Amino acid sequence: ARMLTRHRACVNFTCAEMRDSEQSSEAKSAPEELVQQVLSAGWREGLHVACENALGRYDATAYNTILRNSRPTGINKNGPPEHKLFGFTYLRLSDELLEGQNYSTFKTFVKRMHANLDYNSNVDPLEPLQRSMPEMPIGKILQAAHPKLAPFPFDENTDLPV
Amino acid sequence: MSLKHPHSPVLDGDPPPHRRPRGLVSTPPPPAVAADTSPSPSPSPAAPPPRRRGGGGGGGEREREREKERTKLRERHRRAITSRMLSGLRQHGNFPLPARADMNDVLAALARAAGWTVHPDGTTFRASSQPLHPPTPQSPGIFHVNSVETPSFTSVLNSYAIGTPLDSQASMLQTDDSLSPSSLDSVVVADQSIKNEKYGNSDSVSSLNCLENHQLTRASAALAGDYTRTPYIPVYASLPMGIINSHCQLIDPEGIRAELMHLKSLNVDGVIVDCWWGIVEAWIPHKYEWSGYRDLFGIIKEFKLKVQAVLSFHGSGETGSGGVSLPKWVMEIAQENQDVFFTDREGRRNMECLSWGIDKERVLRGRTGIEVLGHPWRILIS
Repeated sequence: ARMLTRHRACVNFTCAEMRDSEQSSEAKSAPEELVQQVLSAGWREGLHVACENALGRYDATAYNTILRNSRPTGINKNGPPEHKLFGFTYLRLSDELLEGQNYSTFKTFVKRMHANLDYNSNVDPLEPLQRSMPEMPIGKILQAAHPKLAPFPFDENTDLPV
Repeated sequence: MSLKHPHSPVLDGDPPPHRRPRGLVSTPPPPAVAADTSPSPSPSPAAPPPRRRGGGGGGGEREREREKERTKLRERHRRAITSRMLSGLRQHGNFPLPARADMNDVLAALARAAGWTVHPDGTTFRASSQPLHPPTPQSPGIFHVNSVETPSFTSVLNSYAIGTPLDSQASMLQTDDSLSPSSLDSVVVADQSIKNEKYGNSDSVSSLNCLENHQLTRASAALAGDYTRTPYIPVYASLPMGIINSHCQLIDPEGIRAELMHLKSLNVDGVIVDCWWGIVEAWIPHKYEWSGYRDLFGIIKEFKLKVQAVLSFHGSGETGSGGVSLPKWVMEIAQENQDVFFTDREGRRNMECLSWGIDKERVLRGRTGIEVLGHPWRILIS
């Protein structure tokens, strides 16, 4: 994540919809922990962090996991959320997504991602790219690897489920 | 008889017991011995027989005379000492003592010099504490007694007064001792100063950190506009595969419009468009074709949706639903040189992605791996 800061890049990571409990034990994978580590690393370096899903999902369980990862501690009633995604990419538009119940569920999901606020095109404004900052010494980049820091706290469930 | 009579009350009274212990305490040993020795032989030879008979009375008289002589000598000695003390104080200590100052004046001057407060009536105390000097209350009483005492008793009082300077010196010593705690306090104060300096430094560091955080926050706000303030998170939808063919032609403009209309009604914020290397530079190196994507961007703009262009320099194996491979000319190179692909431990090649190993190898018709990645981007934004 630190390597990307000088380019003012946005980190986009996958697996936002995955739960550990949904994975086969044979794979020995922990996608929830991995997502939290990657998002936390980006936030710690001050980067914009975005997410997308790895597999096509149309169910509420997947959407609620994405919502939890989008705002790890929910909506803060006292001000802006401490951490949140810069954006979310849904992969992929298809006829299946636009039919019947899937369409309705996805529509609710989008509303929840917008925190039940009206559509706002001013969020994520269009801006020209800026030049990269000076090159960073390798030592400074390597510093980010020590010590291994725990992820920021993530609520078990979203406060705004589908 | 008359002489005997006035002396008798003195002898019978209390004064003798008082005189002896004080005299002994006050008299320096050598002069006292000399005084006792010198009167002794002279009275003995002069004793007449009738006086022997009244020997008791005669002995009393002689002793009284000797006592007077001893008292005179002691007083003379004491005055000499007092005179030298006053001279020293006046000369070396700049004490404003009158020529005939009595011991109370000296005592008061010394006490004041030692930091005590001394009132005219003799009340003595330190500025920040209650009266502590024990001998002082006795002074008025003693002088009261003096008014009715014989001269010999007055000498004793003088002796007592001369003794008090020792107490004053003790007070001075105590004052010296009290300086140590003060010094310790100074040290403690110095330590506190050092701590304050450290604390100040810590504050400075914290201030710098706060400043940096503030600048970072400001920069972030400037870059992101209202973004950082809202819990609103934009949602983008990735468009389906196969909407643009390998000749970079938009296949179904009306179908795309229908889908974009759906996304708009869903309040989706924007769309993701994969720009495939295998389409943009499909056939000939350096020959870029963007027409289909340009048309697509135009339609998306009609619906006022945002666009994120993703430059995909890999292949997608979804051949059934419009998969895209690497450019044809790259695949030709790969046929002759399989090492341009990632290879696993068992020798299997991944035909969808160029290996990082060719980042700086000019194996792509004169270009390196990194160079082929940069060119389409510049074309797109120009």
